[in-house]
Amino acid sequence: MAYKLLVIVVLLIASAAQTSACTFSSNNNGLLKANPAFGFVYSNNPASVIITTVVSSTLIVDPVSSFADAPSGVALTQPILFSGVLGGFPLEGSPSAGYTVVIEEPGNYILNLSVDRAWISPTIIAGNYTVQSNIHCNPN
Amino acid sequence: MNKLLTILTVIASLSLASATLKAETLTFTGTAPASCTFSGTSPGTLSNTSSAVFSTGQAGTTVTNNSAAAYTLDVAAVSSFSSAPSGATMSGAASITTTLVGANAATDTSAAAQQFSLTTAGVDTVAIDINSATVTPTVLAGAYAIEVVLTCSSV
Repeated sequence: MAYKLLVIVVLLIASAAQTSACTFSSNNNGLLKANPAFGFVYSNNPASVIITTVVSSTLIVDPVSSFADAPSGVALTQPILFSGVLGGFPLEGSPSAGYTVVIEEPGNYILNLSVDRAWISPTIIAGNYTVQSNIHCNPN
Repeated sequence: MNKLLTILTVIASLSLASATLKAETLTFTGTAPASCTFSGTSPGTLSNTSSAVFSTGQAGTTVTNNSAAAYTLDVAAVSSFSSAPSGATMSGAASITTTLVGANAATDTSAAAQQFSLTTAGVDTVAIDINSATVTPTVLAGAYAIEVVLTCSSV
């Protein structure tokens, strides 16, 4: 009986491992630049990461409505507008509301994510800026 | 037996939990350099008496600086016309009133060079009045122009 249960639980564990939606590797930071004339920050070099899926998955790129780091007094006037390319195809959806991308075929995919516009009020203050975009996967 | 079942169930639960907690953070970093820029510069207008010219309309510009206490706004003294009828020259320096409205509100009237500390990052509207620029030997008929040079200087 115990042996039987052990087999069942081992199968459950194996099944859980199989449903691991994505793993991420080779994460590279993007670079931000300021456009003081028009009052926004953008990336002149995208962030990138390799996404590996072993099952059909859904990649979720969360929206970003605040800087992770910015000079005092700086605020976003609206969620950051992103664009991106996954496996050679542009992300489709709302640039400001995040992206949800179905990855049907398991494999390795390169995600390049860019900050198109981070509109700032009242003006771009000199200093360091950091934007963090959280991404995660769910099994389909 | 029950103990084994419990342990294995916990292991299975932990494994399931770790399987769904797959997340990553993509980071973008950059530095905005300090800057001080002028925009929306507009000319004023001059009128005259028999011995001097003065402004009847202010010249203006907008100064935008993005770093507190990193810059001063310098207004150079003016001791000559940029254009004037032949034979008409400025006597001494023009008396100028400079008014800043905005992040660094201030005003100064002087014939000497003026300096304003831009202690706050932000936008200032600058208005320039020529109170008086004495003309030697007298105001001759013709066109007069005065240029006032404003400079953002790093502290």
